[in-house]
Amino acid sequence: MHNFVINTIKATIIELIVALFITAIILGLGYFLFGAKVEETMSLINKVSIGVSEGKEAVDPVMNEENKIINYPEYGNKYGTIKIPKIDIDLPVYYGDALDILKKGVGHSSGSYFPGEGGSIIYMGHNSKKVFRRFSELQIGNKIQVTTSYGEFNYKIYDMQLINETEVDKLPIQKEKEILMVYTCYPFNNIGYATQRYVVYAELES
Amino acid sequence: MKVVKNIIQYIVATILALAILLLILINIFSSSILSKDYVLSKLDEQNYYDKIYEDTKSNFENYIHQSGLDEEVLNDIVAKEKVKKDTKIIINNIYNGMDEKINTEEIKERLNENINNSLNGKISATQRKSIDTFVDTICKEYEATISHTNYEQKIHTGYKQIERYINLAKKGILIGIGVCIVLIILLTLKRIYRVIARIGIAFTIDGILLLFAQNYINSKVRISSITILNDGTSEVLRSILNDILGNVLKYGSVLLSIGIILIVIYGLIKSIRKIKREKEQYTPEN
Repeated sequence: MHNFVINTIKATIIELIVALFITAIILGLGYFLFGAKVEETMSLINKVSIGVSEGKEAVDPVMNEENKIINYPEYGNKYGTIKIPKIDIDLPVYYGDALDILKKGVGHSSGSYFPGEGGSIIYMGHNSKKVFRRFSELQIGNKIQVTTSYGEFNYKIYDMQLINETEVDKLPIQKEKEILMVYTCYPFNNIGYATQRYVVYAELES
Repeated sequence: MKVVKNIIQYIVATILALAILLLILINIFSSSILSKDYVLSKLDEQNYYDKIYEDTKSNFENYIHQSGLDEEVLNDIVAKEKVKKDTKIIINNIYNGMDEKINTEEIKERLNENINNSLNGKISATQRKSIDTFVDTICKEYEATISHTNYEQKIHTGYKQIERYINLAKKGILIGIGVCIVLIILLTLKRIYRVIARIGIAFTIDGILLLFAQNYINSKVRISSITILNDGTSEVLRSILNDILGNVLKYGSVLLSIGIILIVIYGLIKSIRKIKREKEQYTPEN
């Protein structure tokens, strides 16, 4: 009986070792041939995975002494407020320009610079009563104040322009001078779909 | 000669394992993402239509803020049933190659009616033009939210091609499996019980490979946070991926178990034969 058990275990283990050995060869060969592609595919899939920030509280951006922001806000997060005393505006500013962001307040075009970085900053908002409906009352010399977690920035309006909807992407992005561009849909009392944009240009005072 | 014969047997067992593995993977995909009925059942299970209905409403609201119109003009312009019907049109276009378009006339009519009522019919010619653009934008937004793509026909062509290759592959693999089993039988004619061991090895290899793949993908991909297009689509996709991995785990466990059982049975038969042989060797002397 003892021999019978020993023989059975021996035969089983030998076959299992062979199976494991062949599996290892297949895996090794598979990794050699397709390993890089598999890894690439996995990282591609992970790129469409969000949720890293889920459950975490939004961290306020911080600017270092060289005027560089250390931690940029995540897309869709609020990072400041904009005040335009002339038209009683005091609204939250969110990073991003998706339509669902604009429902909450003023959006910051993700391709533009942040206040204090020394370049073009592009903000936008709806022309609804709660947001920029009164833009027509703004005049050259009026003040715009942007407050962030890393500082307060005051701008003075120096120009206003009317552009087509399609020209918004062509607003000048540069890093020589800090300019704040805020735009909304035009006409302000429009009914239906507005195809023009009213842009207010302001330069940094302090 | 015996060693060569054994090596050939193991090589054939490896080919058999790979063929079975391919067949299982093809079956898993055929019965999930490539099956229209399965996808429709997933849409129902994940309340896809309700979520898309909410998405359409939310997307419409994005336009109302800049339109100068009251939010009420969007009331009842789309019904849940329409969302369901139109989603099924898209699924039909993709899986059955239909070329049916989403009809937005009803939305257009209701929206225009709501706008007219809201403005008490006082609409200037300039406003009319602007309102028409607004209505068209809302209709396009609806189409985009429901279909997400303009390439239904291209997707269908790709799907048909995959289906054709899969059917061909299935036939080829089944023939391959048959040939492998016949070869193993021929190679083990004198000790036919070895067929059990070779098939057991093939199943064990498949079991380990499938379990490894399932664990590897689970550790590398954050399935629970995959986000594509919108919440509804993302949840359906996550659910399908979890189903596929669940099936891989199920098949892997079953194959590994059967493989080990077959190998143990082989061990038992081999042992019995050895003891029998030993007994026979001692008998003449007694």
